[in-house]
Amino acid sequence: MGIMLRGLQKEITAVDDRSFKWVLSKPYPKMLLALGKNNAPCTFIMPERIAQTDPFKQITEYIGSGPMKFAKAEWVPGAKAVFEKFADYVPRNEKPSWLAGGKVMNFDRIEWVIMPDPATAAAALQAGEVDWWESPIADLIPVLKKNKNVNVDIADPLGNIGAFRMNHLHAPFNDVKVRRAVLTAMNQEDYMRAIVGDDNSLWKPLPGYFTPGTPLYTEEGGDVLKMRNIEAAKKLLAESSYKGEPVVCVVAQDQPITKAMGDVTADLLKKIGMNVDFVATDWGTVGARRAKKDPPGQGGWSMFHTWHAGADCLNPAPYTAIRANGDKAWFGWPDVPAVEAEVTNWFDAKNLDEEKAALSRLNKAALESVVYAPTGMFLSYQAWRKNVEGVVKGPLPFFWGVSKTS
Amino acid sequence: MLGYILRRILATVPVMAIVGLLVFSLLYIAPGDPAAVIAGDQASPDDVARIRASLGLDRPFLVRFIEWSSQILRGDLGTSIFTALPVTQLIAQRIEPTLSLTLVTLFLSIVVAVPLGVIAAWKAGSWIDRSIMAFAVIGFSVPVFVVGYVLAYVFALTLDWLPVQGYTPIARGFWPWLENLILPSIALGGIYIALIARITRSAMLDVLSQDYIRTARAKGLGTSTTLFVHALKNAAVPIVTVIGLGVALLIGGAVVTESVFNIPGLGRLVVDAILRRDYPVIQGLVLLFSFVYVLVNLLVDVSYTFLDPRIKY
Repeated sequence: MGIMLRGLQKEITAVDDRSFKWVLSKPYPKMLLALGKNNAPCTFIMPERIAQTDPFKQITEYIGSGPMKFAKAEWVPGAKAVFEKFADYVPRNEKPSWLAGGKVMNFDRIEWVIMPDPATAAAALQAGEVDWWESPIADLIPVLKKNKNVNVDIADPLGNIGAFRMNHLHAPFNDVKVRRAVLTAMNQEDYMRAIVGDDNSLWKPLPGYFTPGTPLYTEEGGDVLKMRNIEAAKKLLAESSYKGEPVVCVVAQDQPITKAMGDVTADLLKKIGMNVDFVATDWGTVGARRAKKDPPGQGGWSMFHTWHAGADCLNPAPYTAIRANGDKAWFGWPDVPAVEAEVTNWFDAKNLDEEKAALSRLNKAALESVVYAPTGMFLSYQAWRKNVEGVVKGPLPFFWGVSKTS
Repeated sequence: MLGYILRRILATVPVMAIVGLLVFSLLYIAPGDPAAVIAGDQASPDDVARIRASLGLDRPFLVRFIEWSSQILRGDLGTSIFTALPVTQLIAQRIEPTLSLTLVTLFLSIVVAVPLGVIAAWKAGSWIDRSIMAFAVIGFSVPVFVVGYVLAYVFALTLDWLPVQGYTPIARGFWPWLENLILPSIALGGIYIALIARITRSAMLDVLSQDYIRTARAKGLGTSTTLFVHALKNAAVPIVTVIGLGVALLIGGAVVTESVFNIPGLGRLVVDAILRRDYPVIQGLVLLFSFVYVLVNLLVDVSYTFLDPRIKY
């Protein structure tokens, strides 16, 4: 959105110390969203000296601008970050609402402890050595629920959207019929159960691309994902240009979510008669390999698995993965002008009805061309000690409004 | 002796140079890209390419290797790609927990394993010997993380005697420091105790069959004096050797133990660095671990002259 705004910008000037004037070449209905959205990439307000840093260089001074200050001296990267209360911060006189509203801080100090082992984190929470666990794994939830001193609840109602992306540049997935065959053979329940297990409250089918339960959610064109049809998939594959070439399926084994989805996909591809070259690797390798545009047999790839935060999939603005502008698109590089046209229509929409109409058309076009394959929507838990109050559900842990009794 | 030590210290230079070349080369050809990790999941391929260029990762192998080598010669291990902090600072932050864990484990292992090995040799063939050797087999066979989970469940969660996880610097008091290390050291020490106990038993069996031991007994020396003063000293060379070689086991085991007990040490730092492809950190840590290993083996070799006067360099 920053790039779009810059393209529309005629001038930006400081009116006084507390306000500025931003003149655009045409109306931009999504201005508030551009400034206020809460998932990366998002707007950060920095002192001028820091904002001058080359965008492709790391900044070295980070303190924060809210009710807490980052205690850099106590930072042990990968192990612990400490935040201390900023005494001069004046909260707004209103209730907090995620990142907005009055941020009243009831703690002088917050220690953010990184525990690599989930079993250790569960034990530490049960023993009262930590107060709040951001992301307990599904396997340990029954143990935590049995503990009378621990609360367990859904962490983020917006959840996550599972996905695998196919490489639109090279065979076999440069043929839309092959992509449709895979989509036709999919059963989202298989993916979701592989990720969350037997807990039905932790997943939802997703016959589309946008976050369920949000205003722009649509199932337009999503019938293909509602019912698996292996025979139809085989027929589509037979009609396609697929000639048995290997599908290089790059799967990160160190991420439980991608590993679970990768196993399901490998089985699915074999069921419809595809030749799978399953590359089991780590996320660092997937991150590098997916950026390569070389053919799959020459260091490139055919498909990889990932997931997107539900908060990123509310609309096209933060939703990099839905874009289909070819070379500029996310990994897989789909080139679907119909999708891009609806992205533009959504940006120009002046009211919710227009936005909904644009996204319904976008959803349909994206599913028809299979921009990527959504594997379902899944949720995760958070857990905290019962002497901690004020924990809210949200895409991030929000510490304001939270208090703790001894 | 001094000449030997100097020669050995000088010999570490080419060893470290070869280690450095190997580490750098392996990381160069290994798959993965720190720029992609830094850029995050939403980044475009162009973003990744620009970050790679800004980090200098698109330059040729030789240019990067020469630059890195000259940094190392100046005592500069470089800067972490991911945190933008000097590698020496990251190591300094993490070295105390790992050093503490290693030393406590080493102490515990020697204090437990050597007497066990001596007793097993003394009572060779008896149920005591078989029990100790069965314990040693368990120590070899059960993975560190399994022992760790069981210990944490019993002694921390159920009995509430010790903390589940974490590390307290020794500057905050001896007991707070030690109580965080007891369970990790027992978990990490299992395999080490087993190894030392078995070698001690084997070495002691050789020594106990010697004539001078029979003479010592005939002179009326007590059992403990015979075993621990006369026999153990003569069996010490292989025991000390295995203690030295076992430091590699400790370094490897520390990676798992630090994760299971959430100890912010060098083991976790190296795992994080590998997952992020933080090359300067990986290179710095491998050089450090190699140096420690070489140094420990030098100390072991030097100790032979004190343990066995027949050995001269």
